[in-house]
Amino acid sequence: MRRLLLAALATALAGCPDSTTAPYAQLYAITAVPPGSVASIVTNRDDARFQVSLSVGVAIGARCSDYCPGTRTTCASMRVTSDDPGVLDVRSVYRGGRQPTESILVAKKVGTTTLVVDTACATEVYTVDVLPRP
Amino acid sequence: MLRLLAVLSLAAAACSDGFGTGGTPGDFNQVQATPECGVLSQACIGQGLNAPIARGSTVDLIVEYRVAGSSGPPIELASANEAVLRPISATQLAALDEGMSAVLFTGPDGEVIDLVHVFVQKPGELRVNRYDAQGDLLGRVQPSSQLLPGDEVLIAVEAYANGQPLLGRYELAYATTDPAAVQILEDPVFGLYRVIARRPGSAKLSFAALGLDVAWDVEVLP
Repeated sequence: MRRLLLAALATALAGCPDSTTAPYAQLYAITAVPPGSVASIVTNRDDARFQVSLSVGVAIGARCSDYCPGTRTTCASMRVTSDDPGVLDVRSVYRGGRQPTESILVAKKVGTTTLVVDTACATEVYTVDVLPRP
Repeated sequence: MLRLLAVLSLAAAACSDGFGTGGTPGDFNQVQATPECGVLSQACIGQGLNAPIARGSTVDLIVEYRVAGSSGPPIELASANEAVLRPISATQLAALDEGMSAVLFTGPDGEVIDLVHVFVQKPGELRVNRYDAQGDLLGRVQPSSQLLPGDEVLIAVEAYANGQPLLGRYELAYATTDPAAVQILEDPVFGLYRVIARRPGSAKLSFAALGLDVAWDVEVLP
């Protein structure tokens, strides 16, 4: 009985979110990369590296995930904005209805800009490199 | 036997995605895009939108939507890289420069319903291909040919790059050095031409498009 209680306690503790984790928001790619192209979203909180790299002409779908203590919704009130839509355009997605946690990132012109992901409790800023094709 | 038929019909149903055949599905599988083929059959019928597009040409798209609970909206196209590919009408793209660009199929509010990536390539050669009356490819014509009076050959002059057929429509200039011996007529179907042997003699047929040219020597025997 004591072993059972200990096991239940350990399971419960492992399943609980880390109360020290700060709120965060992040993007990840949900569509394919065309041949001979670069399309990556790097989210590395340990190294504070938030990087979007796309070959010019590429459009990829990106989905948001976040951690907001005390909430159960994912990426509530998400807004994804580009500092320079001439370099990186951001469009909303219609996929069986409008998808509030998804965006299309469109690499329009070679250059550098920033992409801001805002949710109800967190903000993340990605550096964006739109690269020339080889 | 009935069980076998049931299994076969289930298998066939599983293979169908509800779209027509031959099109290129978008990343979200809500749009299938097929180039309107006309006659550029080598690239168009063989590979559809999976073939690169010839720089300097245009492509007319047939866009088929599969949006749950809705008919397809009016077609609107957008390009990720307008230096490479630019929409020039609701269903037509102009290939402006070599490279790659996503084509976005958007809804009335600009939201993206689906997308495909397409390549634009500089053509390296024109080939004269012969087709039968049904539009099926018979093969590439030889540099010089012999015909008999009354012979009629259906051809298309198509763009290739490194042996790969390229997609696209373009204006073709054509000429014959002796139209009394060998005449070239435009077929009512865009891109097809009829080469007609009229009377004995020789003619050099020349074709030019996309900055390239190709010649075909034809001798009409008595």
